[in-house]
Amino acid sequence: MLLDAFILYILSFMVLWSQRRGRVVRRVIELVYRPLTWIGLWHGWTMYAPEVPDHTRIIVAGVLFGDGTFEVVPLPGLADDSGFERANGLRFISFQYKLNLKVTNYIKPALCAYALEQWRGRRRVSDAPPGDGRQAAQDASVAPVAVELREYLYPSPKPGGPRDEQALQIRTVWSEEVQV
Amino acid sequence: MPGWWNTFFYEPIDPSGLALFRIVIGLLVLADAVIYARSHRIMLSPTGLLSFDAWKGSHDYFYFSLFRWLPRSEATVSIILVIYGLAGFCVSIGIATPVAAAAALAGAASVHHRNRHVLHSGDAVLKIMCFLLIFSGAGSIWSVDAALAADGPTPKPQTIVPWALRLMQIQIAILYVYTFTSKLKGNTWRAGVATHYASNLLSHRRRRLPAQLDGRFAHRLATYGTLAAEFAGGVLVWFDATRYFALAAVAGLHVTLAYLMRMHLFQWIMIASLLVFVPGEDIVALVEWLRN
Repeated sequence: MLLDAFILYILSFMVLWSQRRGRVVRRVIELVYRPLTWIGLWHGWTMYAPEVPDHTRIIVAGVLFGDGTFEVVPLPGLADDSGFERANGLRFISFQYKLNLKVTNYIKPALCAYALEQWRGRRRVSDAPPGDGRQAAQDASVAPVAVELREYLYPSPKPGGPRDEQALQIRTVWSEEVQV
Repeated sequence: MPGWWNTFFYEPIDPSGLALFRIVIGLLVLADAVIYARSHRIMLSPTGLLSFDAWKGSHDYFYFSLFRWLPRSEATVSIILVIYGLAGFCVSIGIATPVAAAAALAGAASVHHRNRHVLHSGDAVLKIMCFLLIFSGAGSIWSVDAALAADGPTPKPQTIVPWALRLMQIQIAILYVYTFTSKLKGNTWRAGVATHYASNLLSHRRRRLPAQLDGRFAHRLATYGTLAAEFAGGVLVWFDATRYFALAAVAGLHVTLAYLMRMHLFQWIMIASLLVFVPGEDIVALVEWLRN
């Protein structure tokens, strides 16, 4: 009897969790199944559904200088397609897509801090002689004023049509001032 | 409970299919731990992509994760990953299988909840399967547990009560039915152009489609073929006459996607999960046939 009840509980979770719609229903379902979701059994099965995106969104982090120039700090996952970067591909892609959502706003300052740290680390390396000439010149004349997350949106071609390379859209999705 | 309920959930079955699934899913847990280990500075480190402070201040901090209770350090990351990987290995060879499965679930939940924004549906399947493996009796054959029990005074029976396996099957079927019905609501799927757009997602692309497979007709075929395979994975797997056609179609879909797209372990977790539908008797017959 107890086992039957347990099976019914799990079974109803499998059926209902993905169907929770409406504020009250959602709240009740989340409350009833909290023990299961707490241990990690929450889920969602909308893989490429209902629509496959008709564009590629890529979030790029970078340092903005006083003169308006923007130096990209490569985030992992999309900069390289070899080794573990490839193995982890979908994780970084998921991360990139989630960064377009408001619920991930709390991540963005942390991600900017991460990008700034990476940039400073690279600069320390390139400051060593002989150094990167362009970067050294930039360091001397212009200080970084902000770290930004920028969205690059590449529309996919229509079926049967060519890709329009001019259609790339760029917008800033987050900006953090750099404290000197 | 009605008779069909008792028959479906409690009538003993041969555990060979489940044991094979246990071996494979354990290896996938190990693989997940290894991949995480290779990128742990970015993924899990207190100063990584999602800093510990940012995580702690979020709603996600509520969920189970050993990172909540252990000191925030690189050593903690290593310890948790070792537990996670070791648990996967133990599930695979069947040492203290229920405990190992619980440890694998704890490890997976710990690393996955540390940054929920890098997860995919395969991660959820992995955790659900580890959870159900705890109760499944998957270590009753082809395992260290079984070898030890065979030497003991009361050898374990060669059948299992399949309620946990049935829940695994139902979960996988629900997954395919849900994704199938969700896709039917989409214009790109109904119009037969979804795979055209999927193959043009630059971030996902691993290999470019050959030109002869990049036409309208080929995409229409691939789009409707995907829908048919997902329908088969949710519905046709339940019938003896259509089961293996359905499994072949779904496995073919996942292998193709693994070849063309950057999918982490998602496709392999899904292919492994199809094993829960293979009757134990068929696995035994296959093993016998291979022996002879």
